[in-house]
Amino acid sequence: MPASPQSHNSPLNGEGRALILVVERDPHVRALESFFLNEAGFAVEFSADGVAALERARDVHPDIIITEVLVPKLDGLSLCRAIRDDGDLRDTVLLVFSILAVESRAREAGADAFLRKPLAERRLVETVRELLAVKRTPREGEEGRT
Amino acid sequence: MIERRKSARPSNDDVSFPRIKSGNVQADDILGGGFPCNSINIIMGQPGTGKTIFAEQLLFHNIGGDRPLLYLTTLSEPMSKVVNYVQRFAFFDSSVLGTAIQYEDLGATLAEHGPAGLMNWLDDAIKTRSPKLIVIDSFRALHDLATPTDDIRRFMSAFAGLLSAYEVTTFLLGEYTQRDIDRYPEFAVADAIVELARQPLSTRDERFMRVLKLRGSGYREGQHAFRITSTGLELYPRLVAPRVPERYESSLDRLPTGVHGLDKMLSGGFLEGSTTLVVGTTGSGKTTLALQFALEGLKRGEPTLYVNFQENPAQLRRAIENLGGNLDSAHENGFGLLYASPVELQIDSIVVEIFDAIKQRAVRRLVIDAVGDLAAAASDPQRLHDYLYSLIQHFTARGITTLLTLESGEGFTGMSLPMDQRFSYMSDNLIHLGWKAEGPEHRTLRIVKTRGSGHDGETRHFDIAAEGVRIT
Repeated sequence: MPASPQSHNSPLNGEGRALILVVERDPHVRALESFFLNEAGFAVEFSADGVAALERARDVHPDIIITEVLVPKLDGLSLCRAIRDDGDLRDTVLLVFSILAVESRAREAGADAFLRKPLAERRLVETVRELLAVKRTPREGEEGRT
Repeated sequence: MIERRKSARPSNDDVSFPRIKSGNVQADDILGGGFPCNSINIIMGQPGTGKTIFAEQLLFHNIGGDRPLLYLTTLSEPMSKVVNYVQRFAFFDSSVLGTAIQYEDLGATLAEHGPAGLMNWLDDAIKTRSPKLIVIDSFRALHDLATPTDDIRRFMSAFAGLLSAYEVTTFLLGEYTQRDIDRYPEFAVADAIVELARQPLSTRDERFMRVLKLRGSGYREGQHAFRITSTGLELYPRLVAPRVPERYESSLDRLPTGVHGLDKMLSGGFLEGSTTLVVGTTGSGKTTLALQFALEGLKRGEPTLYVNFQENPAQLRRAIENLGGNLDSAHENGFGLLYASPVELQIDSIVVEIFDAIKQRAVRRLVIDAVGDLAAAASDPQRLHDYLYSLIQHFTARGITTLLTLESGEGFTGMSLPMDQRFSYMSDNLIHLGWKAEGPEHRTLRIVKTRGSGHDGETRHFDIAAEGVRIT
């Protein structure tokens, strides 16, 4: 897959790279997510469990959190609920990327989008871009997501 | 090529999985719809069983989109040989080589770096080529690299991890034996295992496909015969009895047999949809009786099929003409003749041909002359028994009135009495034809049984006159 022409620039506005926090245990998925998201111009950080991810999110305020459901300590769906209940983080874009077929539950937990594994780089990158674009251009009468 | 089964649930809550088609309709049928997408599959079998052809057929069938399909050769078969021979098949398309289908010879990489070299190559290929499908031929050859068992297991873990993380379907080909299934780790991670085998039978070989494992899906168990043709593998899925009769309304209508005296003994003829076995020695009149039954169908405008393994078409034409029929006009009026030489007879392929002919002609009256020839074509008596049972069940379910002939034990085939008994219990009616070499009344006919109906149980004498069998 050729790299995006916007590689290493912000996919949004060229003012810096959007930060993605990925909550994932599988080393192979992590490696591929890291490679393809970096290629597409995003900055990527990883957390191996839900609790660490919540703490890291409070520190760095990522643009998007991509989480597997099956992660230790705090599962991905609980993490989504915790983010939505957090006054500082509630507007964070949430993408559940899981081996489980749980789109409905993910949406109920507050996820903005759901993708089923395995990783398909084009689908992943395009979904991330679309989510960031929506975040930056709230609908008329809205101030970001509520 | 990729299809998702319909479900009422939202797509991402749908736990069913898309399938990748093999390019072979029968193989996909055996596999319950195809191989699972994004899976690791093993195609195993000894050299010459058709693994490479099966994989190539699958590969060329799945061309499409902008993601390439990779065919990686390793240490056992040079890439030049693989490409050279695949050109002979109808599915081959040279215009896609190097783009949609990319062949790579990894022999040197493996020889120099071992399995780790393959791992690095795949990791790079995923990042730079986005492959949709990968075939590795032969994967078993990796075990010949004198790599310690622990290293192989670590490699397999990483290999399966990488290929499971990414959206790619992988096929590992190898000259594996049954013993390898327990000792090589790739069998534990495989989502599907398909075995291709070849068994010698008399002067020829029979080839079989068998699914040993298919995660998350049902499949057709058992051995499915195939042969290799210019279009790839031509498969004949194993016949099984219908679970629920497709159409089975017991009929009280009777079909005249074409032998007036026999009709009288049967109160008008065979019950519609019944199966009759005519048993007798060589020369006892089985084929004559069977032809009369078929020609009676023709006379009554019933689509009729005559399946024959003994008389060639010229001999059969003469026999029909001797009975006052005309094969040319018979063909025009819905009379089908299916001839297969007993020398080349393969039970699975003839069954497929019979069903095709039945569907095409909407056959109502059927003769198989003689079922004993199928025995000679079957490598396993139990398999033959299962086949015939299933075959008869299918005929019954379709309401076809069937007459089977069988040469009895004292004939040239050496068919044993137990064989006669096994056939007879499957049939509704059993007629025995006897003859003695000498004497004025040397031919006899006896109805041994009729299921669901009374009959004349006396032993009757008959002769074979110009019109055929004539009860005297």
